Amino acid sequence: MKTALWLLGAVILFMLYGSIAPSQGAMQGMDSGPLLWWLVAAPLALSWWLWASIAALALLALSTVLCSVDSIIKKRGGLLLSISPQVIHLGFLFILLAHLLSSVGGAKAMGYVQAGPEVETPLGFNFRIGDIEVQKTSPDGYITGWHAVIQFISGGKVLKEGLLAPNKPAFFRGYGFYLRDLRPGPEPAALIEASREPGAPWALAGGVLFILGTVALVALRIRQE
Amino acid sequence: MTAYLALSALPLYLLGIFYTPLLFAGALAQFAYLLARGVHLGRIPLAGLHDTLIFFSSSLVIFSAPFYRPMKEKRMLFYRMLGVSALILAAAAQLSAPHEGPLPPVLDTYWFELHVALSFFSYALFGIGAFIGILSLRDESLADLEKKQYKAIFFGYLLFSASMIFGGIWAFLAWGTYWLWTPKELWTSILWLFYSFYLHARSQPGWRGRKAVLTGILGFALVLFTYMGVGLLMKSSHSF
Repeated sequence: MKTALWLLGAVILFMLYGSIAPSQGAMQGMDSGPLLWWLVAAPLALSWWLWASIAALALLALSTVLCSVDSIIKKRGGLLLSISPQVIHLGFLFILLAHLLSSVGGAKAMGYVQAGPEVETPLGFNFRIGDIEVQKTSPDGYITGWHAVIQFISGGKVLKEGLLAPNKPAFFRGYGFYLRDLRPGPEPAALIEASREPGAPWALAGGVLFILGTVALVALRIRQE
Repeated sequence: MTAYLALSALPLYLLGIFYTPLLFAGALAQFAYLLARGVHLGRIPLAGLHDTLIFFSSSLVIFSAPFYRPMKEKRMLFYRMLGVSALILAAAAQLSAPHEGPLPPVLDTYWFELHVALSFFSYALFGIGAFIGILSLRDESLADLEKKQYKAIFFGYLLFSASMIFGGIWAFLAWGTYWLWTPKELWTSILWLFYSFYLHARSQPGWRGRKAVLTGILGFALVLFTYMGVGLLMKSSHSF
């Protein structure tokens, strides 16, 4: 446990440095692609805090596994009281795994697309955006939403059709397609982002486990205290 | 007209510092104001400093209700601290213009509303934990108050974790990723790791007591910086 506390403290300090470092503007590039690319390309003077955080998190993950195994062997308290912290730990490990998978195997590309023409991609399929509809308030003219139909095409055949809108992506063959923004004008264009996040299902599973374990532990510990 | 509801909370909080039930009347006035604004705007008003400061101050008072009886002889001091804090937050809200009109389309989702509401509920509980901690530092019955601080913080931690997870789901649906590298996300993670540190440290015999109390108080300083400091001083995806 003491090791875990030191490691948690270390991660906090490294992240604190990362958030207030003078080169904070460099963080912008971290979201433009998989994190591993940024880490490899960035000078060590800029990225050392993140390398250090990752190293401390890796040790923390190991410490979490050892702590959980030790707790299961010793089995203190009732069944739920001994299991719930391990469920929380499992959720935490899943979330770390999610970040690792996305940092290594993630992909992202973005560009403006006009309605109509088929857009070629290197993904083994193409796509096409249908008419872009914009919703506005009356009479103020605030834009309150937009949507467009997306068709996924291969060999001239439409394989799947979906509706894109803010917070409503369409998924096809492991890629998510997002309607991020609109470029107004006589021929409006949609800012389309295609991304792959292999860690997303693990992050969701980790989050669910973390919350379930914490709900059980909070209920038990608050009653116990 | 609805603006008067928010303004009426100021004298209620001021008087509530001396007569506790008025603090709850102030929180109800703020709740009514947010409800009226929500009906007028057609959405939960949770965008911008004005709305969130009001939400924060009313949450602080409302979430203190379960501690009303258990605080016993410390009740008056506890509610004086809470009342002053709620008053400062409510007054600060009046200095910031409310965000009128529709939200950017990306904020028009239940995930956003859950994310923000749970964040402020947890901030309120972390604040309550810090106030109980401050009271315990000058008291012989430290152990009893320290347990109350732990309960407030642990429940706050649950809500904060849920808020982070809902935020991740929203970010994935809006931007294709559950994580963005911005100072706000980093500070939110720092806060979450810090309270994870607190909960783990408190389970150690050497930490229970004064050390845990001070850690809980320090946590609330981080909360305030994560909420206001990051938003005002650093560029983030959380500035809409």
